[in-house]
Amino acid sequence: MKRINITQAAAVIGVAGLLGVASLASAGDKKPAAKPAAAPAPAYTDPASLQKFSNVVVVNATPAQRAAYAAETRRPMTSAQKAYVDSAGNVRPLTAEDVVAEAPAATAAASAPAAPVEMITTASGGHAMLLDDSSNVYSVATIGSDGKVKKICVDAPIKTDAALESAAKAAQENDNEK
Amino acid sequence: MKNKFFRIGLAALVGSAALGFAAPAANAAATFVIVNIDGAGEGFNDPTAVAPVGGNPGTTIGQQRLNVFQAAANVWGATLTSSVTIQIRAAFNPLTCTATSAVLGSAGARWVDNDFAPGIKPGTLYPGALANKYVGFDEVPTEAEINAQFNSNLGQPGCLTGVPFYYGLDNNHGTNIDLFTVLLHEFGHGLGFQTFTDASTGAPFAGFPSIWDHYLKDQTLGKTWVAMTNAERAFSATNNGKLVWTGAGVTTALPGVLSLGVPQLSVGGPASGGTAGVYAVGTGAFGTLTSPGVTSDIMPIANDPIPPGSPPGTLPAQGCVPFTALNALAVKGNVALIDRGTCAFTLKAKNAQNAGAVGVIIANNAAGAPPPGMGGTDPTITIPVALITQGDANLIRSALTHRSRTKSGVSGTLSLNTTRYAGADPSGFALLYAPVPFSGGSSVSHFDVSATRNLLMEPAINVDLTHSVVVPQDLTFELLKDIGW
Repeated sequence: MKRINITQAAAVIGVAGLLGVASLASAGDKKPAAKPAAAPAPAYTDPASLQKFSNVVVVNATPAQRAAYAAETRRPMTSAQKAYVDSAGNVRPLTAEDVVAEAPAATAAASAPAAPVEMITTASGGHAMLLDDSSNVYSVATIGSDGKVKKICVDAPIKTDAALESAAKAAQENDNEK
Repeated sequence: MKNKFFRIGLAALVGSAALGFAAPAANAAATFVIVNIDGAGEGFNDPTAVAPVGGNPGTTIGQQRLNVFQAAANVWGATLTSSVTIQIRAAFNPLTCTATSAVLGSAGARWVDNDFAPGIKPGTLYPGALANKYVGFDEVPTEAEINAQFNSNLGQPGCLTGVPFYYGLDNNHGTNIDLFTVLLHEFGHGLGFQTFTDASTGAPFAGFPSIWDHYLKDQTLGKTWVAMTNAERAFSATNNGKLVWTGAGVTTALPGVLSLGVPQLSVGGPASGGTAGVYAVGTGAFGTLTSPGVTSDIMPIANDPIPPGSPPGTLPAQGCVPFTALNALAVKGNVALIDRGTCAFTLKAKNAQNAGAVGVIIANNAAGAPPPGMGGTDPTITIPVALITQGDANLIRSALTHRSRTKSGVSGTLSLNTTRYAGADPSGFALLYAPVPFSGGSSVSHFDVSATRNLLMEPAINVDLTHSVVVPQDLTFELLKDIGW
């Protein structure tokens, strides 16, 4: 399982790192004392430096995970998603025929067409549906005319000031409106 | 669907049996794994030195952020039960903001599945973390179960300037935004406190209803969402005050969390005709409604006089100036009906009180439901004051056309109904948020804002929330239990 691998990898890296430090320290003992250089700030927060909680573990993502995430966040945001089902009602992956069939509707649509749902194969061989951040619930805060901060949930991905303004308006309870 | 069960194979069946669907765990526990997806030196890895705050011992911004994430996840971990770790892919990124508004963050289920195990509701979408709990192993080991990102610029100039996240763990956030509470709320969505159905159109995601939809009932239609057409669901999403949660966990626990007492306007009397009934009201921190309340004829005021020196014309009946003799005659001993607008609610109420009114109804000046609350304070206002929707006001006005100078024959009782729980319907079911107009992301997937005490999963995250998700402080865990947690 990936999670075990992450943890194991982190442990291995941690051990290797310690060994490396020990090795450097040992080597340093044999040389004339040098002016100690300021230690550079660690690039990533060390999970071992964090507060401990009984039901939580923190791991740093692997470079591959970070790269995948970066690629994902660069993708254009979809306003909706669409899935396809087979004759038995099971969700199935997108086919080339689906793409062709969707083309006219997509062209006619005033807004961006619904993107196909990204299917993922489960450990048991079935298919689950991946959700992008258009399916997330967004929390927006705004400072009202009374100076109070109000917060509200919205579902549309907010990528522009106009969208934010619209969401902020919804957050206002208008309780001081005249 | 049946085929899918077979694909699951022996591992799932063994996992399911080991989980023991019906048997509640003696000691709740689940483990969360927070995957720090941020790049070097940013977000969770921000090395900027800071002083520990509010029980958070972190000495860098990155550490403090991760500690708050841990603390919030730990609340859920100590509450839920699952033998499968729940992975949250988390990041702090620069998100959209202006000086006065900002996206705080977002979260949601990373994946959903249906028909993954026997014993679940067939043809129904479950969020990944819950699906894993059922099968007893990680169905999708290549993906996290919850996706979350939060705003790394909050509080900086140009990004909700001066109102940063509070990284303490002690809820002592003052005027800043308590990240702990926001995370509890957002993680709640990621764990399944949401429908995947498009509530604005009623269309189920990928053609499948969500587990959420099985417990969502419209009291007008008398149906749950899974039994409705798309059009019925879209109607139901804005059927304010009629959309309820029928799960046994929430319904049973509700009296231990919510308080008795719902402010309301009851209309009756010989001339009331079809307007007779009970109306929802918005209230404020003044003009409190009590039980049994006050009853008298509802009398609208006429247009206000033009201030000296103003252009000719009339001002709407907004009660912003001391009442004329005719208006005073109309409202004396009666319940004044006044339009919203131009001046503060408290001024309208005070002018009516000074004219001898025993109560005030303010008619909203814009469409929508529920009626909003009213801002302002004035301890000298001693009569009950309530705000009703524009639609309700128009209906009531239609029965007032044959009034005399002092009587309308349409009585209004402004009272606190002490037999109803605030946030529940008359049948005792928790109300879900179904405002008019539809509010994407808020509608349907939250408790109603009428809930008192305030609940974690209302659409607006209130400043008086605790960091608890369980009874008697909150109903969130009860709802998650209803869907299978």
